Amino acid sequence: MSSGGSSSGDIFDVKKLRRLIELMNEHDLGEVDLRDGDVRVRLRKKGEVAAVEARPAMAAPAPVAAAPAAPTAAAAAAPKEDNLIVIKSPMVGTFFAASSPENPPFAKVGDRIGPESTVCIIEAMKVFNEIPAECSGQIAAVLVKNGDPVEYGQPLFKVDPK
Amino acid sequence: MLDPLDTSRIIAETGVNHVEYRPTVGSTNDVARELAATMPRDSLLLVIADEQTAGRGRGANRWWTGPGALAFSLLVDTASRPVAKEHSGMIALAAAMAVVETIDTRLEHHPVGLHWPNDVFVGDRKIAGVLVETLADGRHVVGIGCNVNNTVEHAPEELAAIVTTLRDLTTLEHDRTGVLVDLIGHFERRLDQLGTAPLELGQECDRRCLQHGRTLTIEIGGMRTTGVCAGIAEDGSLLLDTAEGPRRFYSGVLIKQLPKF
Repeated sequence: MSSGGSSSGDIFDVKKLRRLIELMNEHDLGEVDLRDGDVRVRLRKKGEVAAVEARPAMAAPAPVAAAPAAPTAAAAAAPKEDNLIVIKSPMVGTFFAASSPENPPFAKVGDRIGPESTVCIIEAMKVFNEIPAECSGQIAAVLVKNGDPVEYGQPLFKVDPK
Repeated sequence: MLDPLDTSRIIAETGVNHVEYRPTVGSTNDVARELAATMPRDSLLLVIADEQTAGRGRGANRWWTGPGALAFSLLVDTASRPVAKEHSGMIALAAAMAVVETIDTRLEHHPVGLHWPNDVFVGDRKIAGVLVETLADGRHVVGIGCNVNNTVEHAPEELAAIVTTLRDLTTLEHDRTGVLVDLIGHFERRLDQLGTAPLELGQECDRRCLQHGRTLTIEIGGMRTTGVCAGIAEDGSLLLDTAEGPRRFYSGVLIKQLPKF
Protein backbone atom coordinates (compact mmCIF):
# COMPACT_ATOMS: atom_id res chain seq x y z
CA MET A 1 0.00 0.00 0.00
CA SER A 2 1.53 3.27 -1.01
CA SER A 3 1.71 6.08 1.46
CA GLY A 4 1.98 9.82 0.99
CA GLY A 5 5.63 9.60 2.01
CA SER A 6 6.67 7.10 -0.60
CA SER A 7 4.70 8.96 -3.26
CA SER A 8 6.47 12.21 -2.54
CA GLY A 9 9.78 10.34 -2.66
CA ASP A 10 8.93 9.26 -6.18
CA ILE A 11 7.93 12.64 -7.41
CA PHE A 12 11.15 14.27 -6.22
CA ASP A 13 13.37 11.63 -7.77
CA VAL A 14 16.11 13.66 -9.45
CA LYS A 15 16.33 11.28 -12.41
CA LYS A 16 12.62 11.66 -12.99
CA LEU A 17 12.87 15.44 -12.77
CA ARG A 18 15.77 15.40 -15.23
CA ARG A 19 13.78 13.16 -17.58
CA LEU A 20 10.83 15.53 -17.31
CA ILE A 21 13.04 18.47 -18.24
CA GLU A 22 14.42 16.48 -21.18
CA LEU A 23 10.89 15.75 -22.33
CA MET A 24 10.00 19.41 -21.98
CA ASN A 25 12.95 20.29 -24.20
CA GLU A 26 12.25 17.49 -26.68
CA HIS A 27 8.67 18.57 -27.13
CA ASP A 28 9.20 22.27 -26.56
CA LEU A 29 6.87 22.34 -23.55
CA GLY A 30 6.74 25.58 -21.59
CA GLU A 31 5.34 24.09 -18.40
CA VAL A 32 4.66 20.75 -16.71
CA ASP A 33 2.35 20.55 -13.71
CA LEU A 34 2.18 17.28 -11.76
CA ARG A 35 0.34 16.35 -8.61
CA ASP A 36 0.81 13.31 -6.42
CA GLY A 37 -1.38 13.26 -3.34
CA ASP A 38 -0.71 16.50 -1.49
CA VAL A 39 2.56 17.20 -3.29
CA ARG A 40 2.76 19.21 -6.47
CA VAL A 41 5.68 19.82 -8.80
CA ARG A 42 5.55 22.49 -11.43
CA LEU A 43 8.35 22.94 -13.94
CA ARG A 44 8.18 26.15 -15.89
CA LYS A 45 10.64 27.42 -18.47
CA LYS A 46 11.80 31.01 -18.21
CA GLY A 47 13.90 31.70 -21.25
CA GLU A 48 16.45 28.91 -21.11
CA VAL A 49 16.18 28.35 -17.37
CA ALA A 50 13.77 25.79 -15.95
CA ALA A 51 12.31 26.89 -12.66
CA VAL A 52 11.38 24.13 -10.24
CA GLU A 53 8.57 24.80 -7.84
CA ALA A 54 7.25 22.33 -5.31
CA ARG A 55 4.56 23.05 -2.80
CA PRO A 56 1.53 21.36 -1.29
CA ALA A 57 -1.29 21.16 -3.78
CA MET A 58 -4.31 23.31 -3.16
CA ALA A 59 -7.31 21.44 -1.90
CA ALA A 60 -8.96 19.97 -4.95
CA PRO A 61 -12.18 21.83 -5.63
CA ALA A 62 -15.41 19.93 -5.43
CA PRO A 63 -16.63 18.84 -8.82
CA VAL A 64 -19.37 21.42 -9.07
CA ALA A 65 -18.65 23.25 -12.27
CA ALA A 66 -20.65 21.47 -14.92
CA ALA A 67 -22.71 18.40 -15.46
CA PRO A 68 -20.98 15.49 -17.10
CA ALA A 69 -21.44 15.43 -20.83
CA ALA A 70 -21.03 12.66 -23.33
CA PRO A 71 -17.50 11.56 -24.14
CA THR A 72 -17.38 12.96 -27.61
CA ALA A 73 -18.96 16.31 -26.74
CA ALA A 74 -16.01 18.26 -25.45
CA ALA A 75 -12.96 16.06 -25.76
CA ALA A 76 -12.17 18.60 -28.40
CA ALA A 77 -8.52 18.62 -29.19
CA ALA A 78 -7.38 22.17 -29.81
CA PRO A 79 -3.93 23.10 -31.17
CA LYS A 80 -1.92 25.22 -28.73
CA GLU A 81 0.73 27.84 -29.23
CA ASP A 82 3.46 25.23 -28.85
CA ASN A 83 1.90 23.25 -31.73
CA LEU A 84 0.91 20.50 -29.35
CA ILE A 85 -2.70 19.36 -29.29
CA VAL A 86 -4.41 19.28 -25.90
CA ILE A 87 -6.95 16.55 -25.20
CA LYS A 88 -9.41 17.94 -22.66
CA SER A 89 -11.82 16.23 -20.32
CA PRO A 90 -15.37 16.22 -21.72
CA MET A 91 -16.90 15.90 -18.26
CA VAL A 92 -16.52 16.17 -14.51
CA GLY A 93 -15.40 12.85 -13.06
CA THR A 94 -12.53 10.62 -12.05
CA PHE A 95 -9.64 9.93 -14.43
CA PHE A 96 -8.53 6.33 -14.95
CA ALA A 97 -5.40 5.71 -17.02
CA ALA A 98 -6.18 2.01 -17.56
CA SER A 99 -9.25 -0.22 -17.81
CA SER A 100 -8.30 -1.91 -14.53
CA PRO A 101 -5.46 -1.62 -12.02
CA GLU A 102 -3.88 -4.77 -13.51
CA ASN A 103 -3.82 -3.44 -17.07
CA PRO A 104 -1.29 -1.08 -18.67
CA PRO A 105 -2.34 2.52 -19.31
CA PHE A 106 -4.23 3.27 -22.52
CA ALA A 107 -1.76 6.03 -23.43
CA LYS A 108 1.68 6.88 -22.12
CA VAL A 109 4.32 9.35 -23.25
CA GLY A 110 5.73 8.29 -26.62
CA ASP A 111 2.67 6.25 -27.72
CA ARG A 112 1.29 6.94 -31.16
CA ILE A 113 -2.46 7.46 -31.26
CA GLY A 114 -5.19 7.92 -33.84
CA PRO A 115 -8.57 9.67 -33.63
CA GLU A 116 -10.35 6.52 -32.45
CA SER A 117 -7.72 5.46 -29.91
CA THR A 118 -9.02 5.33 -26.37
CA VAL A 119 -6.68 7.45 -24.24
CA CYS A 120 -8.31 7.05 -20.82
CA ILE A 121 -11.53 6.38 -18.95
CA ILE A 122 -13.43 9.03 -17.04
CA GLU A 123 -15.98 7.80 -14.54
CA ALA A 124 -18.98 9.90 -13.64
CA MET A 125 -22.02 8.55 -11.79
CA LYS A 126 -20.72 4.98 -12.27
CA VAL A 127 -20.61 5.37 -16.01
CA PHE A 128 -17.09 4.54 -17.18
CA ASN A 129 -16.58 6.56 -20.34
CA GLU A 130 -13.88 5.58 -22.79
CA ILE A 131 -12.42 8.82 -24.08
CA PRO A 132 -11.31 8.80 -27.74
CA ALA A 133 -8.27 10.89 -28.73
CA GLU A 134 -10.06 12.57 -31.66
CA CYS A 135 -6.65 13.55 -33.00
CA SER A 136 -3.50 11.86 -34.32
CA GLY A 137 0.08 12.02 -33.18
CA GLN A 138 2.36 11.05 -30.35
CA ILE A 139 1.58 11.48 -26.66
CA ALA A 140 3.94 14.22 -25.40
CA ALA A 141 2.64 14.58 -21.85
CA VAL A 142 0.14 12.99 -19.49
CA LEU A 143 -1.14 15.82 -17.34
CA VAL A 144 -3.20 13.91 -14.74
CA LYS A 145 -2.68 10.90 -12.55
CA ASN A 146 -4.72 7.73 -12.20
CA GLY A 147 -7.59 8.35 -9.78
CA ASP A 148 -7.44 12.16 -10.01
CA PRO A 149 -10.67 14.14 -10.04
CA VAL A 150 -11.00 16.09 -13.28
CA GLU A 151 -13.09 19.08 -14.24
CA TYR A 152 -14.93 19.81 -17.47
CA GLY A 153 -12.41 21.06 -20.02
CA GLN A 154 -9.36 20.17 -17.92
CA PRO A 155 -6.30 19.30 -20.07
CA LEU A 156 -5.53 15.57 -19.85
CA PHE A 157 -2.89 14.92 -22.50
CA LYS A 158 -0.64 16.83 -24.84
CA VAL A 159 -0.18 15.31 -28.27
CA ASP A 160 2.54 16.10 -30.80
CA PRO A 161 0.75 15.96 -34.15
CA LYS A 162 4.01 15.50 -36.12
CA MET B 1 -32.19 -26.44 -10.24
CA LEU B 2 -32.03 -23.24 -12.21
CA ASP B 3 -35.13 -22.29 -14.15
CA PRO B 4 -33.92 -21.93 -17.75
CA LEU B 5 -34.28 -18.52 -19.34
CA ASP B 6 -36.78 -18.30 -22.19
CA THR B 7 -34.87 -16.28 -24.78
CA SER B 8 -37.66 -16.34 -27.39
CA ARG B 9 -40.03 -14.80 -24.82
CA ILE B 10 -37.46 -12.10 -24.07
CA ILE B 11 -37.24 -11.23 -27.78
CA ALA B 12 -41.04 -11.33 -28.19
CA GLU B 13 -41.83 -9.16 -25.16
CA THR B 14 -39.00 -6.62 -25.12
CA GLY B 15 -37.04 -4.46 -27.55
CA VAL B 16 -34.13 -6.91 -27.39
CA ASN B 17 -33.39 -8.30 -30.85
CA HIS B 18 -30.34 -10.43 -30.13
CA VAL B 19 -29.65 -12.64 -27.11
CA GLU B 20 -26.23 -14.06 -26.37
CA TYR B 21 -26.56 -16.72 -23.69
CA ARG B 22 -23.49 -18.19 -21.99
CA PRO B 23 -23.68 -20.71 -19.12
CA THR B 24 -20.49 -19.32 -17.59
CA VAL B 25 -18.69 -16.12 -18.45
CA GLY B 26 -15.97 -13.91 -17.00
CA SER B 27 -18.03 -10.75 -17.34
CA THR B 28 -21.15 -10.20 -19.45
CA ASN B 29 -19.92 -6.63 -20.04
CA ASP B 30 -16.76 -7.99 -21.67
CA VAL B 31 -18.79 -10.24 -24.00
CA ALA B 32 -21.06 -7.32 -24.95
CA ARG B 33 -17.99 -5.22 -25.74
CA GLU B 34 -16.56 -8.00 -27.92
CA LEU B 35 -19.83 -8.37 -29.83
CA ALA B 36 -20.35 -4.61 -30.21
CA ALA B 37 -18.41 -4.43 -33.48
CA THR B 38 -20.74 -6.97 -35.11
CA MET B 39 -23.97 -5.33 -33.94
CA PRO B 40 -25.87 -2.68 -35.91
CA ARG B 41 -25.96 0.56 -33.91
CA ASP B 42 -29.72 0.52 -33.42
CA SER B 43 -29.87 -3.08 -32.17
CA LEU B 44 -30.46 -3.95 -28.54
CA LEU B 45 -28.18 -6.81 -27.53
CA LEU B 46 -28.65 -8.84 -24.36
CA VAL B 47 -25.76 -10.87 -22.99
CA ILE B 48 -26.75 -13.14 -20.15
CA ALA B 49 -24.97 -15.77 -18.12
CA ASP B 50 -25.95 -18.21 -15.41
CA GLU B 51 -22.61 -17.72 -13.76
CA GLN B 52 -20.27 -14.75 -13.88
CA THR B 53 -16.77 -15.40 -12.60
CA ALA B 54 -15.25 -11.93 -12.91
CA GLY B 55 -18.13 -9.49 -12.70
CA ARG B 56 -17.22 -5.82 -13.06
CA GLY B 57 -16.83 -3.48 -10.18
CA ARG B 58 -13.57 -2.00 -9.12
CA GLY B 59 -11.39 -3.73 -6.56
CA ALA B 60 -13.35 -5.28 -3.74
CA ASN B 61 -16.66 -4.17 -5.24
CA ARG B 62 -16.85 -7.10 -7.62
CA TRP B 63 -20.36 -8.40 -7.85
CA TRP B 64 -21.32 -11.72 -6.30
CA THR B 65 -23.65 -13.97 -8.32
CA GLY B 66 -24.79 -17.19 -6.72
CA PRO B 67 -26.89 -19.72 -8.65
CA GLY B 68 -30.26 -18.14 -9.48
CA ALA B 69 -29.06 -14.55 -9.72
CA LEU B 70 -29.54 -12.51 -12.87
CA ALA B 71 -26.29 -11.26 -14.37
CA PHE B 72 -26.58 -9.59 -17.72
CA SER B 73 -25.52 -6.73 -19.94
CA LEU B 74 -27.38 -4.69 -22.52
CA LEU B 75 -25.61 -2.99 -25.41
CA VAL B 76 -27.59 0.13 -26.20
CA ASP B 77 -27.17 3.19 -28.38
CA THR B 78 -28.84 6.09 -26.59
CA ALA B 79 -28.20 8.41 -29.54
CA SER B 80 -30.66 6.44 -31.66
CA ARG B 81 -33.44 6.73 -29.05
CA PRO B 82 -32.65 9.75 -28.86
CA VAL B 83 -31.01 10.85 -25.61
CA ALA B 84 -29.13 14.15 -25.57
CA LYS B 85 -25.42 13.62 -25.01
CA GLU B 86 -25.38 15.77 -21.89
CA HIS B 87 -27.95 13.48 -20.26
CA SER B 88 -26.46 10.13 -21.24
CA GLY B 89 -24.39 10.18 -18.04
CA MET B 90 -27.61 9.44 -16.13
CA ILE B 91 -27.94 6.03 -17.77
CA ALA B 92 -26.74 4.11 -14.70
CA LEU B 93 -29.42 5.87 -12.64
CA ALA B 94 -32.01 5.02 -15.30
CA ALA B 95 -31.03 1.36 -15.08
CA ALA B 96 -31.05 1.40 -11.27
CA MET B 97 -34.55 2.93 -11.31
CA ALA B 98 -35.70 0.15 -13.65
CA VAL B 99 -34.45 -2.39 -11.11
CA VAL B 100 -36.23 -0.54 -8.28
CA GLU B 101 -39.53 -0.73 -10.17
CA THR B 102 -39.04 -4.41 -11.00
CA ILE B 103 -38.25 -5.35 -7.39
CA ASP B 104 -40.95 -3.10 -5.97
CA THR B 105 -43.80 -5.01 -7.61
CA ARG B 106 -42.54 -8.28 -6.15
CA LEU B 107 -42.12 -7.11 -2.58
CA GLU B 108 -44.70 -5.79 -0.18
CA HIS B 109 -43.90 -3.68 2.86
CA HIS B 110 -40.21 -3.41 2.05
CA PRO B 111 -38.40 -0.10 1.45
CA VAL B 112 -36.86 -0.51 -2.02
CA GLY B 113 -34.73 2.34 -3.30
CA LEU B 114 -31.47 3.74 -4.60
CA HIS B 115 -28.08 4.25 -3.10
CA TRP B 116 -26.42 6.85 -5.31
CA PRO B 117 -25.42 6.34 -7.99
CA ASN B 118 -25.80 2.71 -9.02
CA ASP B 119 -26.99 0.40 -6.27
CA VAL B 120 -30.45 -0.87 -5.37
CA PHE B 121 -31.13 -1.60 -1.74
CA VAL B 122 -33.95 -3.15 0.24
CA GLY B 123 -33.63 -1.50 3.62
CA ASP B 124 -29.95 -1.69 4.49
CA ARG B 125 -29.14 -4.61 2.22
CA LYS B 126 -28.00 -4.47 -1.37
CA ILE B 127 -30.06 -6.44 -3.87
CA ALA B 128 -28.70 -5.17 -7.20
CA GLY B 129 -25.94 -3.13 -8.77
CA VAL B 130 -25.39 -1.42 -12.10
CA LEU B 131 -22.16 -0.64 -13.91
CA VAL B 132 -22.08 1.13 -17.26
CA GLU B 133 -19.21 1.33 -19.72
CA THR B 134 -19.48 3.84 -22.53
CA LEU B 135 -17.56 2.77 -25.60
CA ALA B 136 -15.47 5.24 -27.58
CA ASP B 137 -18.17 5.15 -30.30
CA GLY B 138 -20.77 6.39 -27.79
CA ARG B 139 -22.69 3.14 -27.25
CA HIS B 140 -23.27 1.96 -23.70
CA VAL B 141 -22.75 -1.44 -22.14
CA VAL B 142 -25.14 -1.54 -19.19
CA GLY B 143 -24.22 -4.31 -16.78
CA ILE B 144 -26.77 -5.32 -14.14
CA GLY B 145 -26.45 -7.86 -11.36
CA CYS B 146 -29.67 -8.62 -9.50
CA ASN B 147 -30.21 -11.14 -6.72
CA VAL B 148 -33.33 -13.12 -7.59
CA ASN B 149 -33.38 -16.86 -6.77
CA ASN B 150 -29.94 -17.02 -5.22
CA THR B 151 -29.68 -17.01 -1.45
CA VAL B 152 -27.38 -15.30 1.00
CA GLU B 153 -26.74 -18.72 2.51
CA HIS B 154 -24.32 -19.19 -0.39
CA ALA B 155 -22.84 -15.69 -0.26
CA PRO B 156 -19.28 -15.10 0.91
CA GLU B 157 -19.14 -14.48 4.65
CA GLU B 158 -18.20 -10.81 4.31
CA LEU B 159 -21.28 -10.16 2.16
CA ALA B 160 -23.89 -12.29 3.92
CA ALA B 161 -24.85 -9.52 6.35
CA ILE B 162 -25.12 -6.75 3.77
CA VAL B 163 -26.84 -8.32 0.75
CA THR B 164 -30.27 -9.81 0.18
CA THR B 165 -32.20 -11.59 -2.57
CA LEU B 166 -35.81 -11.73 -3.78
CA ARG B 167 -36.00 -15.36 -2.77
CA ASP B 168 -34.76 -14.67 0.76
CA LEU B 169 -37.18 -11.79 1.20
CA THR B 170 -40.26 -13.61 -0.13
CA THR B 171 -39.39 -17.27 0.53
CA LEU B 172 -40.52 -17.85 -3.06
CA GLU B 173 -38.82 -18.86 -6.28
CA HIS B 174 -39.37 -16.23 -8.95
CA ASP B 175 -39.73 -16.61 -12.71
CA ARG B 176 -36.34 -15.22 -13.79
CA THR B 177 -37.47 -14.67 -17.38
CA GLY B 178 -40.44 -12.67 -16.08
CA VAL B 179 -38.17 -10.57 -13.86
CA LEU B 180 -35.84 -9.95 -16.80
CA VAL B 181 -38.65 -9.05 -19.20
CA ASP B 182 -40.09 -6.57 -16.68
CA LEU B 183 -36.69 -5.09 -15.96
CA ILE B 184 -35.78 -4.57 -19.62
CA GLY B 185 -39.22 -3.04 -20.26
CA HIS B 186 -38.80 -0.60 -17.37
CA PHE B 187 -35.29 0.24 -18.57
CA GLU B 188 -36.51 1.02 -22.09
CA ARG B 189 -39.17 3.32 -20.67
CA ARG B 190 -36.55 5.02 -18.49
CA LEU B 191 -34.37 5.53 -21.58
CA ASP B 192 -37.34 7.16 -23.31
CA GLN B 193 -37.77 9.38 -20.24
CA LEU B 194 -34.07 10.24 -20.37
CA GLY B 195 -34.68 11.45 -23.92
CA THR B 196 -37.88 13.38 -23.32
CA ALA B 197 -37.82 14.46 -19.65
CA PRO B 198 -34.39 13.84 -18.07
CA LEU B 199 -35.00 16.19 -15.16
CA GLU B 200 -38.10 14.21 -14.19
CA LEU B 201 -35.93 11.11 -14.04
CA GLY B 202 -33.58 12.95 -11.67
CA GLN B 203 -36.53 13.98 -9.50
CA GLU B 204 -37.85 10.41 -9.36
CA CYS B 205 -34.41 9.13 -8.43
CA ASP B 206 -34.36 11.66 -5.60
CA ARG B 207 -37.72 10.39 -4.31
CA ARG B 208 -36.38 6.82 -4.31
CA CYS B 209 -33.02 7.71 -2.75
CA LEU B 210 -32.67 5.87 0.58
CA GLN B 211 -29.72 8.01 1.72
CA HIS B 212 -31.66 11.20 2.53
CA GLY B 213 -30.55 12.61 5.89
CA ARG B 214 -27.67 10.17 6.30
CA THR B 215 -24.17 11.37 7.04
CA LEU B 216 -22.03 10.25 4.11
CA THR B 217 -18.31 10.46 3.40
CA ILE B 218 -17.22 10.56 -0.22
CA GLU B 219 -13.66 10.19 -1.42
CA ILE B 220 -12.28 11.39 -4.71
CA GLY B 221 -8.62 11.73 -5.60
CA GLY B 222 -7.60 10.96 -2.01
CA MET B 223 -9.73 13.80 -0.58
CA ARG B 224 -12.63 12.97 1.71
CA THR B 225 -15.71 15.11 2.22
CA THR B 226 -18.38 14.42 4.81
CA GLY B 227 -21.87 15.83 4.77
CA VAL B 228 -25.53 15.10 5.27
CA CYS B 229 -27.14 13.67 2.16
CA ALA B 230 -29.73 16.01 0.66
CA GLY B 231 -30.66 13.50 -2.02
CA ILE B 232 -30.07 13.36 -5.77
CA ALA B 233 -30.14 16.49 -7.93
CA GLU B 234 -32.12 16.75 -11.17
CA ASP B 235 -28.94 16.15 -13.16
CA GLY B 236 -28.21 12.95 -11.22
CA SER B 237 -25.45 14.30 -8.99
CA LEU B 238 -25.26 13.58 -5.26
CA LEU B 239 -26.12 16.48 -2.94
CA LEU B 240 -24.28 16.79 0.37
CA ASP B 241 -24.75 19.53 2.97
CA THR B 242 -21.24 20.00 4.29
CA ALA B 243 -19.70 22.33 6.89
CA GLU B 244 -18.64 24.57 3.97
CA GLY B 245 -22.11 24.60 2.46
CA PRO B 246 -24.04 22.52 -0.07
CA ARG B 247 -21.89 20.57 -2.54
CA ARG B 248 -22.74 18.30 -5.44
CA PHE B 249 -20.71 15.33 -6.59
CA TYR B 250 -20.55 13.63 -9.97
CA SER B 251 -17.93 11.09 -9.00
CA GLY B 252 -16.29 9.58 -5.99
CA VAL B 253 -16.44 6.53 -3.77
CA LEU B 254 -18.75 6.51 -0.78
CA ILE B 255 -16.81 5.33 2.24
CA LYS B 256 -18.65 2.65 4.10
CA GLN B 257 -19.45 3.63 7.66
CA LEU B 258 -18.50 1.14 10.32
CA PRO B 259 -21.53 -0.29 12.07
CA LYS B 260 -22.22 1.21 15.47
CA PHE B 261 -22.19 -1.10 18.48
